[in-house]
Amino acid sequence: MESASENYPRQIRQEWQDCWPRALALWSPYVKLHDPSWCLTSEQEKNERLLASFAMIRLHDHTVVISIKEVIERHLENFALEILAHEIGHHVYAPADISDQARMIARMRKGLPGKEHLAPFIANLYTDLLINDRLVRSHKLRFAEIMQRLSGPADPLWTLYMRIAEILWSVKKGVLAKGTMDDKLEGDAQLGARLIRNYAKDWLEGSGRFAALCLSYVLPDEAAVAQQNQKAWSDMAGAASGGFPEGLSEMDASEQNGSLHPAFEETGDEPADGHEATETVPEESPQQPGGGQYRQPYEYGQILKALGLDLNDHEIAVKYYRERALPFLIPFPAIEKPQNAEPLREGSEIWDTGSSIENIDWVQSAIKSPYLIPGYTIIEPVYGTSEGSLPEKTPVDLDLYVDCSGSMPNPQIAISYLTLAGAIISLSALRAGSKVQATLWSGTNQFESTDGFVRDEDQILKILTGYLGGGTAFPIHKLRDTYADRPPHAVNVHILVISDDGVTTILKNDEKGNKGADISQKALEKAGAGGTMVLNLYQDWHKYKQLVHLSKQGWNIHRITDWTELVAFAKQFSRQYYGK
Amino acid sequence: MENNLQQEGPALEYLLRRLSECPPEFVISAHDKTAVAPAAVVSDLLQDLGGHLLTPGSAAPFQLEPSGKNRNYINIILIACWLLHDSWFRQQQRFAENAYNFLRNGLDELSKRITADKFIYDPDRREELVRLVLQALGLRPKGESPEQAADRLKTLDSIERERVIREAKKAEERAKELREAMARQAAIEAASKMPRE
Repeated sequence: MESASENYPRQIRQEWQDCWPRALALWSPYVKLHDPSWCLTSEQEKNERLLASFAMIRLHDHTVVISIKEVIERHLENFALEILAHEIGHHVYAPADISDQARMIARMRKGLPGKEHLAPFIANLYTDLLINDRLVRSHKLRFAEIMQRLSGPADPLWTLYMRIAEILWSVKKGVLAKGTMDDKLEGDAQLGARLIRNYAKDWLEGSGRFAALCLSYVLPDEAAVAQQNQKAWSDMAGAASGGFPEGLSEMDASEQNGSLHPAFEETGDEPADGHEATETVPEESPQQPGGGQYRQPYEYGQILKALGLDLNDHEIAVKYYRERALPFLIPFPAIEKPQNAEPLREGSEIWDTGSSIENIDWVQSAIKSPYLIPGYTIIEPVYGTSEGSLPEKTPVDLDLYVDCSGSMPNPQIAISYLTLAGAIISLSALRAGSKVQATLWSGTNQFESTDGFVRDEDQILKILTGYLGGGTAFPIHKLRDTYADRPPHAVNVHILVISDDGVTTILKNDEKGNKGADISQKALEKAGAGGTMVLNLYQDWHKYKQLVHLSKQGWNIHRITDWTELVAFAKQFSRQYYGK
Repeated sequence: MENNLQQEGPALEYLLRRLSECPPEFVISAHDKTAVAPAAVVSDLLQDLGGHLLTPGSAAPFQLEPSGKNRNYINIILIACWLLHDSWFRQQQRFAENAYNFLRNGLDELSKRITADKFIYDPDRREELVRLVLQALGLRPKGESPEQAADRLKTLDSIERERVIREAKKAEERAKELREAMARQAAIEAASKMPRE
């Protein structure tokens, strides 16, 4: 039989569970969230990744996690309504979703130069104040008591934070805020309280300003004491895990100037001589995209890491360039062929993961082998066509060669328009049903390539976002091998090379002594859908005799003078050669 | 200040609501053609609070032309009159003298800092005016201790607030200059360490 003490956590859990609908109703009678995940043991806390804090949220699955064990240890059993309503507030008010959480981190990083890594911590303080202030004002919940219980020793930031709470909730000075309070701190606390109220409806706009307010308090020792105190209720630590913020590569219109210290902001209190007073409470402004202002991959990655997402630099770069390419995606060029009649099965070929799963011929595969292994024993049918009278559009495959020598930017650090253009064209090709072979090249034997022509978006982007940064030597052997044994009935390919004057190394001999010019000529002929070289050149390409030679082979040479022109080129590419 | 707040007055929320319901006629705008005589309003108020009508001498501070800088001051006087005309104060019939002193001396500094309509629409400024009025009458909000009332008024005090914000601004300006100087120094040092090509 269970003793009373063993039963106590379950009793508290039941009480808190009973309180959950009331906590939801404090925000709105229409708010729906599934029941919290209750942790009664350390094992359960570990499974939920609840570390140090007694509560946390996960934004992607709208979950609230509460450690009943920690609640009891911290003697917070009687604050069920406050704590549950607070956690719900993170889901429905601030930050509410992972994209706004990411945008808040981005703004706060700008307000914390040199201490950008503290943005998640400051964001947690800021959103806590916003939520608690609304709940205190609307429902008179007892957050001052909770903060008093959880508060430890004070450092300047913690004193400021507590003093802001005192001002907001009319708590006597010194009840929550301990430590030295000089005029500067008092002034900052006044500004902080005003900011919390003024930006309550547009909290994202105020986030950078709040960070700027905190900057001078985190500079000396990163507010180590405040960080320690806040750990007890660090409910946002893993909030973003499992999700991903969309649209983060583009900045909000007001992000650049959104980290002004509140002391330098007009209050709107002052009367204007002889004029009518104007209300200057900030207008509610929906977060419009920044009108073409994009952040760099490095900053994009730092924000994702600050959100706690477990991604390496390469994975981050893939996501960055995919997102940047999306607005430019167009149907990939298609050439017209006479329409086929009824498809005729001509044979079979090996099915691999790049092909659609519904193409698999399961019966033939099972006959071939009882063990189904992609790329080895799984079969897909090959259909032939008989020509009809109406034209049919057939997409051409893309063979893409992107220069990644030392003169090119590292796409994982700064925006690389070569990578972006490659991503735009490749993703357009995939969208149109084509296959893509992407090759990143630098010096001799320095190249990375997809496993032939594939439809695997991740594999292609992973190649394009890599970085070699060595010498310059076009991978002639790759071009040679790609077209050496290409059957005549294979899908036509357009060869696209993005480079600078280093592309002329294509005319050198390969490792077998074959002339690069011959390889280039044959590749172009066998590809069947032309070839384009888009090159960043200082002078007219006609002044390079090697390029003139390549042009005579049939290569279309397209000169650009700035890498940013590549984006326009990527859009123009299909229109120029294939039209609609 | 705490000694001035020994007696309990009405509840804070009650007076805040009254202030938020201040009729628009009490705020004159630049476009208003009707002339409001603040001295007449104050005089009627004082009589209702148990005092006497203003004499030409005591009315002089309120004989103001409603133009330019005066307009905001007049508006604040009128708003304070609306608050003081609440039935709770009128029933006491003992606040006329304190109210006169407050209206004559207590609003000038505020009028230089805060636009009058803030005392109706801004929650903090509304609370500040209510507390200032109560303090002037020797009262504290119902349910608050003298210490609590004094602390809250100090927190809301616009003049004190402006002073500490000015201090915070100065400190931030100094810190900003320091940070920029350090960033410049770091950039110079980084440049000097770059390999020469």
